[in-house]
Amino acid sequence: MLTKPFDYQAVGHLEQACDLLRHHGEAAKVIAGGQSLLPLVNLGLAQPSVVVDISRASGHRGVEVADGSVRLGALLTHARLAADPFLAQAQPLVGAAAARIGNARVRVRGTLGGSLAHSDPAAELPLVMVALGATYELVDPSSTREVKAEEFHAGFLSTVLEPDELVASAVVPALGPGWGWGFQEVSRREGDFALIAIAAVVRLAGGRIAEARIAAGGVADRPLRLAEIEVAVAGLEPAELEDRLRSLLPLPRLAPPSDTNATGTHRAHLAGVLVRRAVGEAAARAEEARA
Amino acid sequence: MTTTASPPGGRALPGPAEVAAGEGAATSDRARTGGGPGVTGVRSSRAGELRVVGQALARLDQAEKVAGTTRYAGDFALPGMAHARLVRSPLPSARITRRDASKALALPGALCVLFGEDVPHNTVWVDVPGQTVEVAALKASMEVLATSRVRFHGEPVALVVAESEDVLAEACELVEIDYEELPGVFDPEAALAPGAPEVHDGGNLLGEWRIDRGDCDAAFAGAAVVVEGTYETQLVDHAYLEPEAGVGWLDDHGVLTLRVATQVVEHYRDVARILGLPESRVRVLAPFVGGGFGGKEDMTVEPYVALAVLQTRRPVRMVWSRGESLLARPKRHPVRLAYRTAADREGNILAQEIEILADSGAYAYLSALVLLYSSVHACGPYRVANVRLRARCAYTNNPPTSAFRGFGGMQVVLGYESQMDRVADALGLSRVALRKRNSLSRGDALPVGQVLETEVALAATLDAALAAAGPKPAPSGPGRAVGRGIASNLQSYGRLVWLNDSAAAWVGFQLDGSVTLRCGVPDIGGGQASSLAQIAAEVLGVSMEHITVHFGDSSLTPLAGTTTATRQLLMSGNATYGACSALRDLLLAGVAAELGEPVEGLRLEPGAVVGDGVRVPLAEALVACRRQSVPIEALGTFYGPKGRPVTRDLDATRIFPDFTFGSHVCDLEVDLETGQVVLLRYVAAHDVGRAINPRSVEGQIKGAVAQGLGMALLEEVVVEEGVNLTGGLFQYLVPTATDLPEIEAVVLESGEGMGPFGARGIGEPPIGPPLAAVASALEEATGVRPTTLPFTPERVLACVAASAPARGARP
Amino acid sequence: MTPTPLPEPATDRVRPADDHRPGADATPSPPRTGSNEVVLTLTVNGEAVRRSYATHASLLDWLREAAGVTDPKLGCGEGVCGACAVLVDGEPVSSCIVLAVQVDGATVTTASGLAGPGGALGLLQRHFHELHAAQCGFCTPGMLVTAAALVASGRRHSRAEIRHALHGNLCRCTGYGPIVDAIEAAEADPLLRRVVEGGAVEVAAIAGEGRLP
Ligand SMILES: Cc1cc2nc3c(=O)[nH]c(=O)nc-3n(C[C@H](O)[C@H](O)[C@H](O)COP(=O)(O)OP(=O)(O)OC[C@H]3O[C@@H](n4cnc5c(N)ncnc54)[C@H](O)[C@@H]3O)c2cc1C
Ligand code: FES
Ligand code: FES
Repeated sequence: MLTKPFDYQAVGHLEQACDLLRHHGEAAKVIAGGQSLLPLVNLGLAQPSVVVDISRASGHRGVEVADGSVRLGALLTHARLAADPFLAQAQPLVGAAAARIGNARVRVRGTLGGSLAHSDPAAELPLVMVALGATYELVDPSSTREVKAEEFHAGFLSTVLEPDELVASAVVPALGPGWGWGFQEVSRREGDFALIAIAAVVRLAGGRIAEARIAAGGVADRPLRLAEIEVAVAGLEPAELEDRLRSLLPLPRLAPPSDTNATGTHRAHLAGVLVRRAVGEAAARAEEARA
Repeated sequence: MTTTASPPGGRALPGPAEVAAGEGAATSDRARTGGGPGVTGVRSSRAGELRVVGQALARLDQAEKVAGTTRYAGDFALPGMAHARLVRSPLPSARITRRDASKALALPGALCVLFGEDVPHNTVWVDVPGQTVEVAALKASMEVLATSRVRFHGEPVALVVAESEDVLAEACELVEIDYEELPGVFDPEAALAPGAPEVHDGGNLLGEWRIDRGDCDAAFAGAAVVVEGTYETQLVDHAYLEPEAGVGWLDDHGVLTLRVATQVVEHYRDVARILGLPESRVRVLAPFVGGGFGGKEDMTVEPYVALAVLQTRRPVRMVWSRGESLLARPKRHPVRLAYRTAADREGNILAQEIEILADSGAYAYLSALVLLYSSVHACGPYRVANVRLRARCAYTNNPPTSAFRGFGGMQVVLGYESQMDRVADALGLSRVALRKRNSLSRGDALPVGQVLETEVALAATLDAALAAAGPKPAPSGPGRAVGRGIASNLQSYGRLVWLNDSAAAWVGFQLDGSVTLRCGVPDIGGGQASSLAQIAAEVLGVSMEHITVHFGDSSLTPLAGTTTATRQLLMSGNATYGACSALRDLLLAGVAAELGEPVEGLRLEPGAVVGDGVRVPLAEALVACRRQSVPIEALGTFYGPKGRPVTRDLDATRIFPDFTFGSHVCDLEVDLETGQVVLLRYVAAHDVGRAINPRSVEGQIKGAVAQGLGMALLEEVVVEEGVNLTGGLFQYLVPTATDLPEIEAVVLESGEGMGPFGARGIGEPPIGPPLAAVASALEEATGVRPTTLPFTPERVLACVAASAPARGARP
Repeated sequence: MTPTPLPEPATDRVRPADDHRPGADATPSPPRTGSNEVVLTLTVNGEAVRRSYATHASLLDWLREAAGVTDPKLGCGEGVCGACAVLVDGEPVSSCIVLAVQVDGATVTTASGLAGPGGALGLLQRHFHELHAAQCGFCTPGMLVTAAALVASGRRHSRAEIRHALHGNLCRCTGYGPIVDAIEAAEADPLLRRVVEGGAVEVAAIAGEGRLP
């Protein structure tokens, strides 16, 4: 048995879980899909003494499309995100990214809230949330608050969540008319965490890029918006992208980390290549949508 | 579907005319065919009319495996079973200053904590052969549990036994061990430099081999071309899916019994020595093993389970976590190879000058022997008259290294095949033609002096592999390049000839005509037991389903030796063949006596003894034997070919029983911007002598190729300053179904092996060429040859960058 | 036979003999040593199984140690290798990183649950058997489960699609080709085609003829 003994409590509502977290303090951990928590426990890297299970809590599994935005419940699994037809229509980037997570078994159990809260710097969902400028709804025992994705992810496996706070949902803008999306990732093997992943959405107007949102995963301790690139591509025709983006290499201010899978230098190089591919892909989709 | 192009029974070797068409081909007047439908050729006289052998039958062990009912070592439990775990060193080099088990023992449910002093014979001695000119063995030692000094990260220091796994985990944390860090050495070259910290007293040089054949200096002086290359291989792990595991207990006779995942039931002797027990009081059972590949050749859990059982007098189970397996079990040697190769204008290889330096890690294990294999195989399947080889392996404070499929014969393929490509390129010759021109033939001697006694079908394997590969595919888009690489190799099968290798098998008819076969062979997944049944079915004329094989029991099955060195088909196969032939002869003799007829007129057919005008059903024949006091059981023992031990300066007419030859073709595509590699197609052709079960043979080839490709592109145990950073399968990158291409196995049958029915060993041989085939394909795709394994996207990009001037700034 | 006496225990670092017999402890163990148990009922391969077992047990531990179903294997404990794959309510999960208590009441299918009637090999198992899709067999239970989820979709898949579906299951022996062969053959099996006719089927239906309608 790889797990060490702990107390276990399942809750019916997220708020109950917040109460328990406040009661037990630091020693308590919430579990949703368990696809990040339990590998850590099995490897001896996490050892909660109380586990609060929200995986069977009610609610928070909806995909609500309204007023140009999509609200995604924290308990939606990666598999649901990847397969949901409403989401695919309203904001296809999210499902496409979710489909790239791990393997089928991870996607069956793993949840949106868990992935956001775990805040792996190479994870797909935090990345697309940052790219899309998502807002997270957080709950604690008595209140709720909203935090921008870019502020929420605060460092390597770290967020601004208070110990008794949970992610309840994420709200992303729907993909409006004129917009296209791109998602590019490179990993050592299919299903491994990305060495580098790039998410991009661009809006074409009059044959030129009117607006772009681009974010990178794996380049730092958290997903980063690439604001300088966004500015640099604005006003370009899709055909000009390639040369313009090449001229920007190496990407400014990126110093990705090294690990056993790749050096920082290689990651930085990949980021340059994948930005070009992702933005190109997004522009092509935007053109296609107009045609 | 592209699984195999070979019909059941294998693909025929091309006849003499076809072979002669290949340039420089060894003329193959002994070419045989497996007799697949529509295949023409001469049948092997040894094979005769085969009924069962050569058929792609389902394996005997598969029904249980696919039903999920096979009980592997860790699936087994006994009432009252306790659990054991090791406390391991967190440091690569340190003195142990204090050990205290009192807090652990105070935990309710903790049963015992053992330190080295509690082990009756804590020191295990290893013979390192050939290391003095007088052929005396150099003795290397290691402790079962380290007492005063640890030499690698993960070395066992304490053994903890507890009532439950929960208590065990907590108890292990409560064992207090203090260390004083010592300077370590983490690179074999640094280890051999003067003044390096000594891993063991007496210096860090663990083993050394030399070959001095012919006159190298003269050959280099007279060469048309000389090409040089250095190559580096990495630390890799067996990464079988089943981590090390075993259950031990005292049986009703007080015999210490270990049911463990192992390739070697004969370790009962080592366990007995450690415990100070007579060998007859220790028994090792090898259930079906969830993969071995050499990693379960040395002892893993055995001594610890044994100690725990003796200490607690209870059944005990020990299962290593994946982390432990990756951390502490011996791995494949990282090797540095430096080659200088001389050739004349026609492409004849004149000389090889080779230096090999291997990292043995902290303990000897089988390092010296692995290095011997590297030395013997270092020139590949080619005739080279002048060879100077210096091979050394050194102790370091890195994880120990030992046996792994290919056993030193693997790493050198990268060296000698890269050199062959380079020679061909330097001379403007075809890489294929160069290989054929230099191919060894029967009667040629390897640089060490061993003369090849069987067919060398290297040219035929090259032709077959290229034919199966077809045309090279085109790139899938801009910014991508496709490369094709070829690589050939030889790999020994059977153990070193001075090890007095033998294997025994017992076979007996039951009165209902079913057959019981007993053989000590451990079945590690290659279908070892099933192949024996297939041989028995052939000889005894019974169907496979009526044969039960009892295997892997050091007390109740005749000892058959290790499932290593691609030796089991040769050894146990021949033993089984011998036992079955003897049993058949007994049966005929019994019937002859009963009928009062000469035995010469009788033969065994499926279900009956048949003669001129007589047909005695098997059941009656068996009763006849009983009446005539003729036994219906037989023991067969096969002794491997013998030879004299080698000395450090290698020169021997025989070192191994025989070799298997093969050639591979790899097509791959490189994304020139990211360095990501997609394997498109892979073909591996080997002369297997005779395919006892073609599908098993294909399975061995495909599996070995998959491991070779993993080593080529993905796998590495990352160790920094002796600290093993690879803690799980999320970090150790075993290739997945999408990383591997369709692998086609082309099975050629020369009928020329030393195994039963002319079979050659095939378990290890196909693992080596992928390293070189991938390197060669990457060179074609990128313009520069990679030489340091694994060929990560980063290293591939470095090749692209290095050749960029040639191909223009932008791909 | 007069057996050689076994050596006496070599250490004093062992608890007195009586102390460690189960139940010999007078005082109950503190919670950390395993008194934290919970009764769960799962339907495992068609049978309701009710067991009291450690609360912190993974589904894999629960199946193997509490329910005695040992075909799912522990290969890594990280969710990577797939040796522990089982179907929970028809969907594949890594049982090593799901707590048993999280799936109380669920229906679990393991590889042995894919057998046909009377323990005969089920349809998928039969093709694995014939095509040597198992060598050492340690990955096989997980492979079968992943394959079952794929085959149950009722669609036929290309070899590339099958490989994609298998990428979360490691095999160190076969190189995957024979496993892909077996799944391809199973999907083409007329027996299966007759049942699915384009639609998805219950996983149980792919087990064997006896379970087919
Ligand atoms: C083999 C494997 C491969 C993987 N590959 C990838 C990959 O390629 N890309 C990728 O992005 N991820 C990958 N993952 C991780 C996976 O996506 C996880 O599912 C996800 O990161 C966590 O979701 P979960 O529901 O499983 O969370 P859990 O593991 O249950 O929890 C994770 C953390 O989040 C906390 N938490 C959970 N839910 C909430 C909530 N609603 N509010 C606040 N805190 C919460 C928990 O306390 C815990 O600290 C992989 C996992 C595995 C096992
Ligand atoms: S044991 Fe669960 S995925 Fe490896
Ligand atoms: S058959 Fe051994 S791991 Fe797949």
